Amino acid sequence: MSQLVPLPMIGANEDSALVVMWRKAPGELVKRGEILCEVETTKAVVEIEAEADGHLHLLAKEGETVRTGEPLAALLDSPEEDVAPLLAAASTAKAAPAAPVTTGERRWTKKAEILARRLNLSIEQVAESVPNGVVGEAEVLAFQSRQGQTEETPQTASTQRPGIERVLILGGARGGGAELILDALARIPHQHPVGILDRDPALHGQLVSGVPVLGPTSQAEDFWRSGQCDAVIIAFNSNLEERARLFEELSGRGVPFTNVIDATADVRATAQIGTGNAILACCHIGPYAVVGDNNFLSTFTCIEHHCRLGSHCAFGPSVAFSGRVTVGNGVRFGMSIAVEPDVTIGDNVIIASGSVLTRSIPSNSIVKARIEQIVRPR
Amino acid sequence: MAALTYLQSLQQGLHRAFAQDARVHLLGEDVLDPYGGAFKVTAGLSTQYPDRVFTTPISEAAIVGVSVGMAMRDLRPVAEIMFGDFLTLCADQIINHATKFHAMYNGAVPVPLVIRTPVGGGRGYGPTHSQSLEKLFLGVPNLHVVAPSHFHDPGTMLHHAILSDSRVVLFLEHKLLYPQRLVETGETLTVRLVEEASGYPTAIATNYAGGAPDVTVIGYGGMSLLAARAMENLIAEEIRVLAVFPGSLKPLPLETLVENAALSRRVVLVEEGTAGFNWGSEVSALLYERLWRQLHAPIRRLAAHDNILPAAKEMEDQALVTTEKLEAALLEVLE
Amino acid sequence: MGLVVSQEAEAQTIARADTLDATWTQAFFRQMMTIRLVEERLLRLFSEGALNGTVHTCLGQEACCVGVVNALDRDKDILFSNHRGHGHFLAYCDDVEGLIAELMGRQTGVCAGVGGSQHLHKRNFYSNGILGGIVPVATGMALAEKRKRTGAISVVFIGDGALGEGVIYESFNIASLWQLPILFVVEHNGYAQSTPTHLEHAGNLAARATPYGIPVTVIEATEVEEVYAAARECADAVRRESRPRMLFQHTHRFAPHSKGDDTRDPEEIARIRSADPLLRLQARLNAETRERILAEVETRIESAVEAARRAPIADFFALEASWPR
Repeated sequence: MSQLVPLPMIGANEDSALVVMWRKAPGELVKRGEILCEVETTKAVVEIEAEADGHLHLLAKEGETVRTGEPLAALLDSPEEDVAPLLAAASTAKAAPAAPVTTGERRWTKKAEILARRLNLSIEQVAESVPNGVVGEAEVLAFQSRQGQTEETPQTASTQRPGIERVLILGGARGGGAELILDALARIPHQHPVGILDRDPALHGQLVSGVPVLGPTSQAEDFWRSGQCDAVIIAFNSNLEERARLFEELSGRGVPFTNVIDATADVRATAQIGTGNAILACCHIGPYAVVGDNNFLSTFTCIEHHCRLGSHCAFGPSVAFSGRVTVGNGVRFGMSIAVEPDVTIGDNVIIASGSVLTRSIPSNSIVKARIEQIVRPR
Repeated sequence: MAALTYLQSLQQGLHRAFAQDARVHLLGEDVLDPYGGAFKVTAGLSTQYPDRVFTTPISEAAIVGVSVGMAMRDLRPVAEIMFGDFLTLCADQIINHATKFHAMYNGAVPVPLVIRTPVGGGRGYGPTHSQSLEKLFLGVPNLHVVAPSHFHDPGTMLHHAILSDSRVVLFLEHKLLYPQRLVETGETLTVRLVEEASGYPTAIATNYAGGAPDVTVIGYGGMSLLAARAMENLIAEEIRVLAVFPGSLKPLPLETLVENAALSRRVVLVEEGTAGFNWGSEVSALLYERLWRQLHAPIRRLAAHDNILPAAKEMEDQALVTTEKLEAALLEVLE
Repeated sequence: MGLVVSQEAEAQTIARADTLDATWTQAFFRQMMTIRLVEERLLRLFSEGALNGTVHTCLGQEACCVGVVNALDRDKDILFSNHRGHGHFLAYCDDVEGLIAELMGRQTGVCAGVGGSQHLHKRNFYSNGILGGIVPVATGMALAEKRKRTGAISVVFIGDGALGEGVIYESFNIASLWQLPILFVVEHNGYAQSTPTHLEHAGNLAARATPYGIPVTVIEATEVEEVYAAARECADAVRRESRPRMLFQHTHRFAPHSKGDDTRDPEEIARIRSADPLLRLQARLNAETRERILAEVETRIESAVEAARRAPIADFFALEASWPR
C-alpha cells in the first residue's frame, strides 16, 4: 500500500535535517529494511530505512532541508501512481482565524455582543434587523442611533473615545485659567495639552506651565482642521458673553470641544455632562444632575442631585447647589454661595460672593449679599 | 525578503559583539562547533574566535563565578547556562558575588557580565527543563533582567547587553521562539519599537490600524507567541488589542506601560512563570497606583499554575498559559 | 579595544630579594607585628562597641599572610581573600588607616564603610565573605590576566573549612583543564568555625587538589622565612608555567572564629601559643630594634583609631548616587 516516508524525530532538539544523499534511484523498487537515504542533523548523519516495499518517489532533493514529520519521499505501489492524493490526505490544513459566521448559531462578533450589552440593547434584536452578513460594532451603533434618544443613556465606559486626546486651550493665558486647566490635565493620562491660543499677541511664543502659546484664538479652527489637535476647551471666563459666542461659533463649524475633569473631581455615574466644561479639583456632580456645555467650575463646586445647570456659566470656588436647583445660561457665581433646594435661576445673572439664595432669581438680575454688617459695639 | 528568525538574530548579534570588541568572551557547555550550543546560538563562534570561546565542564556555579572574575578584570564575558532551570546552581554567584561587588567596593569595580539562558516550556521536557525562574531573580538588587520577545530584535538587544550595559544582565531566551520569524508590520499586525532609557526597547503591537484599543495586554518574552496568535484570532471578533512587551523587565519602563494601559483602561498581564509573587504582582501594583479611578475593570493577571510543569503535553497545557486562556482573559476584561 | 600586551614574565625585573637578609627580617617583623597589633586592637574596639558586626581575626596566622604576600608581585598580582582577610590586606597594601576606618564604618574607610570587614577592595586586592564562592571568581581573574598576557598571577586564600564547598572543586577542575595562572593558598588551622577538622572532613585535606593534576606544597607555617621560600617557589612556578599550584599551610588560630565563640580546651590554646611565629621571629632581632618597631606600630595604630573616630559616616544614598552607572 502506498505511503509517505516522513522524516522521523531524530533527537529532542532537532526539528529538521539536511538530505545528504539518496541511496536509491527515483522509480526504483525498494524492499522493506533497505536504506533509502542519508540525512544529517547537527549531531550526526543518520540512515533512513524503508518501512515497506514500494517504488521510490522523491519529495526532497539532495541538499534540501526537511522539517521533522514532513515527507522525504513516497513508496508507491506502481511507478506511475500520482503522489498528490497521498500528500493531500496527509497535509493538515491550517485553520483560518475563526470567522464568527461559520457556526451558524451566532451571527455577530464578540465586540458587537459586548457593545450591545453596554448600551442595553438586545443583540438578537440587532441581528434581526440585519438580515444578511455578520453583525459588527458598526451595525450595533447604527441600530442604536436609529432608536433615537428614547432614553438618555449615561456616557459610561466606551470604546469609542479616540486614543490620547490632544487638547488645545483657548485663552486664559494671562488670567490664570489656562494654568488651572493645565494643572488638571497633568494628572489625566489620556488627555495631553498641545498648546494655547490667546488673543494677547505679547504672549505668543511664551510658555505657560511649560506649554507654548501658539497664536491667536482665531486660529482655533485651522489648528483642528490641520490635525494638530483633537479637541478644544475655553479657559477664559472673564467675559461670559465672549465665552458663549466663541463656543457657539466653533461648535457650529464642527470643531469638537472636550471636558477637562480633574482627577479628584467626583462625577457620579448617573450624572450627565455636556462638553467643553472645565471641572476643577474636588468638585462634586451628584446623581442624576445634568450639566450643559462650556461651563467653568472652580474648585469645590457642588452640584447636588437632580440639578440642571445650563451652559456658559462660571463659578468661583465653594459654590454649592442643594438638590433640584435649576440654572440657565451665562450665569456668573462669585465664591462661597449657597443655593437652597428647588431654586430656579434664569439666564445672564450675576450672583455676588457669600449670597445665600432661598428663592428663584429672574433672568438678567444682579444679586448682592448683605455682608460685613456690624451689628453693635461690644 | 523573509524576516530573520529569533535564533538567527541572536547569532548575528553575538557575532557582531565579538567582531567589535576583543574583550568579548563566551563560556558555556557544549558551545564549540560543530555542535554550536544546545540551542545553536553560538554556532560558528568558536570556529571564528577559537581562543575566546570556552567549552566548560558541567559546573554552572563555576561558569558564572569564572565569568564574574573575568568581568572584574576588564573583559566582557558572556556565560551561557544551558537551561534556565539550572540558574539555581549559579544563584550564589549571581546574588552574593556578581551583583554585589560593584556596590560593596563603593562603585570601584563594575561587573559587566551577561548570563544568557533558554527558558520556558511547551516542548514536554518535564518539570526540571521547562521552567521560567526569572521571578526568583527579579528581586535581586543591581541585576538587569532582559527578555526579548519575537516582536523585538533580540540580536541588537544582546549586543547592547554585552557592550553597552555595565551591569550584570540576566538575558532570557524563550526556547519556543528560536525558530520563529521575527514579527514585522504586515497585513494583520502592526509592530513598532519604542526606545527606553535602559537601552532595551519596548515593543508595541496592534491588530488594528487607527483609533483606540479595547484592551491592553502587557507581557514579555515567549508570551509574544500567544499574544500574536490571540490578536490575530480576535480580529474577526472586532476586538482591538494593544500588546505592550517591554524588552527590559527590570528596570521596568513604567511610563510606556502606563501610557498604553491608559489608552484602553482595561489591562491583562501575562507571563509564563508560576502564579503568585511574580512580575505581574509588581506591575499591577504600579499600574493601580498610577491609574487609580481611570481603569474600567480590575487588572487581570495570567501566569502558570503554581506547581510543577507536567511532562505530558495535554497536562502541560493545563498548567501553562495558552492562547485560548489569553483570549478568554482579554474578552473577560471587556465585560 | 585590544587586550593589554606586556612583556614576557621572565624579562620582568622583580624588586625582590632572592636571599633573605636582616632587612627582610625587620620588614617581616614589622608587617607581622602590624597585623598582630591591628587585630588585637580591633578585638578591643569590638569589646568597646565601636565596631558594627563581628570581626574574624587571623591572630597566629601572620606568617601565612606575610610570607605569601611578600613572595608576590604587589604591582600586578591579584589577591582574593576571605572573611578572615585583614592580614592579607595589610601585608598587601599596609593601609592600616583605611582598614580601621572601614571597620568603624567611616567614609575614610577603604570602601567608605560600605563593605566592612569581609568585603575589602584596594587596587588588585579583593575579598568576600561567602565561603568558597571566591574561588571561581579568582579563577576567572586568572583567566583574564592570561588572556591579556599581563604576566600577573591570581592568588586566592581559603581556609580548611572552605574545602567543604563544591564550587572549589569545579574551580580546581577548570583551572587545571585550562592551565590558568592561579595559586590556591590553603590556611589549615584545624577548625571550621567551632568544629575541629576530624569532624568536618574525610580523607587527606592536603591532597584535595591532587586528583585535578594540581601540584601541592605542604608546609608548617611557623617560620615566616620558610613560608616565604615555599610561596616564592610556587608563585614563580605558576607565573612561569601558567599552571595552577596549591600551597597548603598548617597553622594555628589563636582567637576564636569570630568574637565570642571559642570553645576550645585551654591547654590546647596554650600549646598553640607556644608555636607563635611572631615570637619565633622576634627572637632573631635585637631588643632595641624590636622595641622601636613595636612603638612605631602602636603609635600608628592609635593615630589611625583616633582619626577614624573623628571621621564622618557617609550618607549611603549619596554614595550610591555617586557610583558610575
